[in-house]
Amino acid sequence: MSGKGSVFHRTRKAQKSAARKEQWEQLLGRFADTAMLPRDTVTGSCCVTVTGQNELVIENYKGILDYCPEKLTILTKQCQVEICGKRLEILFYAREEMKIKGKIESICYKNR
Amino acid sequence: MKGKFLSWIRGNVRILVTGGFCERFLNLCAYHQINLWDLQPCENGYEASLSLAGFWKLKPLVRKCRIRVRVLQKAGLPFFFYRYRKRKPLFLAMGFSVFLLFFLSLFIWDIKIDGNLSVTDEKILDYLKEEGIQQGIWKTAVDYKLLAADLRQFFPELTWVSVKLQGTRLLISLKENEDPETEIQEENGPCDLVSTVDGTVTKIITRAGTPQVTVGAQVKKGDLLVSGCIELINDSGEVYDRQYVAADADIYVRTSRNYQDRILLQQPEKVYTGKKRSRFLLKFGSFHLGLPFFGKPYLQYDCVSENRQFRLMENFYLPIFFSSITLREYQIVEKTWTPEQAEALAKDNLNHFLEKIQEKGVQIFQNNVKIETADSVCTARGTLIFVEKTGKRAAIDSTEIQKEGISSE
Repeated sequence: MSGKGSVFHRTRKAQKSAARKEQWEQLLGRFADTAMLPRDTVTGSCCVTVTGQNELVIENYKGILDYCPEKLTILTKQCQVEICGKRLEILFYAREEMKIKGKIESICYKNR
Repeated sequence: MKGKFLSWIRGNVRILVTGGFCERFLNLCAYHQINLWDLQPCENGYEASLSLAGFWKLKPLVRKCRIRVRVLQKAGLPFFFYRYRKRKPLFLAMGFSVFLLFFLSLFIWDIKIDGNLSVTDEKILDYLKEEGIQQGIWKTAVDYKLLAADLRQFFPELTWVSVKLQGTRLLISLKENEDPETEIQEENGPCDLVSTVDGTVTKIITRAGTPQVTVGAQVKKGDLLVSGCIELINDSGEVYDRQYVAADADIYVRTSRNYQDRILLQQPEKVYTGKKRSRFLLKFGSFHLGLPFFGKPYLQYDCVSENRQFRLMENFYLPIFFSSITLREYQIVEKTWTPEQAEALAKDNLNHFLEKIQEKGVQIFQNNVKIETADSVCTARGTLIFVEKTGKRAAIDSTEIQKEGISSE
């Protein structure tokens, strides 16, 4: 028997809310497609543009979580984007958009 | 490039952020729309560049994040001004140069003509000079619309003229009438066709009007060929009314023209010796700066000078010229031609002349030119008979029409 506030109960609740969130996002995405609106503005998802291995532009984020020359973690609305590489440098950091230079080795999406 | 220049004008600062919550500081900067660039992590902190205006807004953020900010580098115009604030003449000179540029930009320093083939640049520039438009006049002194209209009127072969000003440059774009046969029909009112040449009519096709000449008739320049007046005749053969139309016809006239060309077998010819000297000059209006040629360098020489105008941007010309002058020595050598060479040259000249005439739509009917060589002179002489199209529009006086109208009433 699992009582209120037990570990099992909390994980189930989290799972449920995550599933609901995903459903909601899918719905929003479908709405954006039918209304011919760009998906990233409607769902608020981030937009990552990678040019080769050396340059990356990311839009629609909330902020930087962690930054060192080997790893840059960016918080977005849905997930965290982790960019690993060498000599990572932020060429431009503004509210909407940032540009990263350096040797990019991996781009990883992590759900909270 | 443009962004870099603007940021230099506004001034920018490179800072070192240490201690506290640096990531939070970066996010706060982004939130408050303080743009950071060249962000680099270093030992125990970050280095970043930001604008001077952004730097002044940092103080509350710094207190929030409990960090320390150190200025590493200052660059840009505000710092430059501050550092040299005691050097008054420098600022005076800067102000003066800006004013000078502004003042010079009030004049026209270059005239560019575009799209002309048969009307040469020189012809147009001469006309402009007569109108008082040349290098160095005030921009406001030119009435562009009027100038375009005047140009079109003065050169009837131009079908389209546009005059505009770009920077300190007057741009004249034009289009010429490419087909010389089709004359611009300026007026559609009643008119006659008159002859422009002397000769014999060989063919006449009338589309509108009453022909006044028949095939074989001799006409002189200015003679009436086709009248624009059509007489309306009733059953009893009397003229009861006159109608005036714009006469239209194809009239071909046979004309003859004398042709003469002389080529001396002994001719002086220019031979360049290969010696040359050049100088460079800096010109500002009538003021010249450069080394002069001492004395007369050569006995006989050609002088070729090439001017180049200074400019700031594509259309911002300045009244300063850089010119190179080259003197090339030559000697006059008497050259003797063989009769064959001279005759070939005379033939070439004749062919060139005929080609040029055919370009105008004139047919060659007969060619009686004979080339002879005698007494060290080669002469080409004879008559050429052409068949050419003629007929120039000549407007009928409106008073005449009115008079006719009254008398017929």
